[in-house]
Amino acid sequence: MPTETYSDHPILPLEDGWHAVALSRDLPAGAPFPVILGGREIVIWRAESGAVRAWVDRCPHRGMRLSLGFVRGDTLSCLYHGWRYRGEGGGCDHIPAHPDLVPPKTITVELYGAAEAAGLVWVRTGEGTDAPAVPDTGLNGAMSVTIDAPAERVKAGLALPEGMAAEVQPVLATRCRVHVTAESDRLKAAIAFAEALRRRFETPDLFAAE
Amino acid sequence: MTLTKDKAALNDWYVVGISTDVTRSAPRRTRLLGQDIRVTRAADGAICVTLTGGEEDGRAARAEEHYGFIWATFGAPNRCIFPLAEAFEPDRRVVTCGTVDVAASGLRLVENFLDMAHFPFVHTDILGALDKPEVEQYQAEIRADVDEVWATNCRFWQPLAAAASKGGQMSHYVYRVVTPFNVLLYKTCPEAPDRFDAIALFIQPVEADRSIAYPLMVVVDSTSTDEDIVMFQQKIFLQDRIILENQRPRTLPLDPRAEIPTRADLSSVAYRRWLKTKALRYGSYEYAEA
Repeated sequence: MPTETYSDHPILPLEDGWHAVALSRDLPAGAPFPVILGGREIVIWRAESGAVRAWVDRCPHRGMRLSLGFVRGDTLSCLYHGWRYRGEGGGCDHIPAHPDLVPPKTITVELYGAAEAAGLVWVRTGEGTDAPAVPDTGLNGAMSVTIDAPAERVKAGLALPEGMAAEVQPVLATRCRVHVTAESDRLKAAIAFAEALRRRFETPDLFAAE
Repeated sequence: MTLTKDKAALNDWYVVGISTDVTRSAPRRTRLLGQDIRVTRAADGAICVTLTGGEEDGRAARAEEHYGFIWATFGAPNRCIFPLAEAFEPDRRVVTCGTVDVAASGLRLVENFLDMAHFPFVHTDILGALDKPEVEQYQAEIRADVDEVWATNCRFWQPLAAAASKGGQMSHYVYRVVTPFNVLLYKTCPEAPDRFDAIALFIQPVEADRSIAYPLMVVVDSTSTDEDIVMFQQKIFLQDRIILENQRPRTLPLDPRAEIPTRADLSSVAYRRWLKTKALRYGSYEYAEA
């Protein structure tokens, strides 16, 4: 299980298991994407083969966030010194400052479980190698919105319309991200729903009136 | 924010401003080691640094001016501000290069300044080239007689080593950490290859994880304008800031298990060891936790 000591944010307790952190369609191959899950800084990225990875967003060498790095094939390299990590297993396989050195096996990034299901990218916290227990809804990614309100409050007040689904990702204590998926003919309505949801939870007088 | 109680940090000299920026009519308010301070200039030109707020509100700190900067200390340093002989050579340009605010520990800034391996990746086609990333063996040591960290016999291929460069050169470097938050380097001068340009990075630790960096160039350069020299240095430092603000933690971990060094990091390893022997904790991860 990754150590999360060095995050820039306080670590919130999370239930062990799978958490949606992005829409699949928002994660193209080659572009590392930083996410915060209950204070944990995580980089998700897609290899050119299509496989999705989730790592602690920190190079073990000098702590640089790997989400500023670059993807080549099924490797992610750190921006700071170009140390290169294999997608499979997260081991370092190249240190440009010493091109003839075979990096010791101990140099490895910290891994989270990562999977795709129901149009979403999922990250696993806690021990376990199970797959996400998510039925394939057949829905399509519509929109992710960041809402400055606690995840539990948003989850409790979702009121989902027909033909849509939503996953609420805790970000910080008072911030969450909602990932909305929808049937293909409901995408525009789903985007409107996501935006309205954000307005509803971020507008103080409306919130007080609830 | 309150003044740190870290004795090793208190008993040292820090830059708190650029001399020409503080005039009789333009005092400066800033923060050092968590303590708010006011920097003022009297009618006779004397500089005065005063603590504002906190337990010692109104106390005067010791202050001096050297190399174009205002220096202050809250404690009793056991030595003077270090000598920088090059600054007194008649044909040297001594150029203060402004300030850069960085949301990271000053100790992280020093390590980045000591590091050659990032040149090709962070200062691509300026201080390094992607096809020449190798760091050759060099030496790093703590010099007990002067209580400084030195790295010597450093060599690195540079496409554009300085504002005055006309092309690539194999730069020779010597690094010198004079205090935990003040560091210098000497590197091959493009205009006079038998001499060394001196570049200093003076750091004002505002808080444990916030810094103001003051680069100083002491160079032999008969062609560049001051503006050229400042722009070159600012460009380099802004590239470094992207790195510095994205390192985790923002403070420097002294626990050897926290980060994995390689041969190119000899100077960083010596620097961390030296900080430990000095019992300097301000700006380290272990201090932030304390």
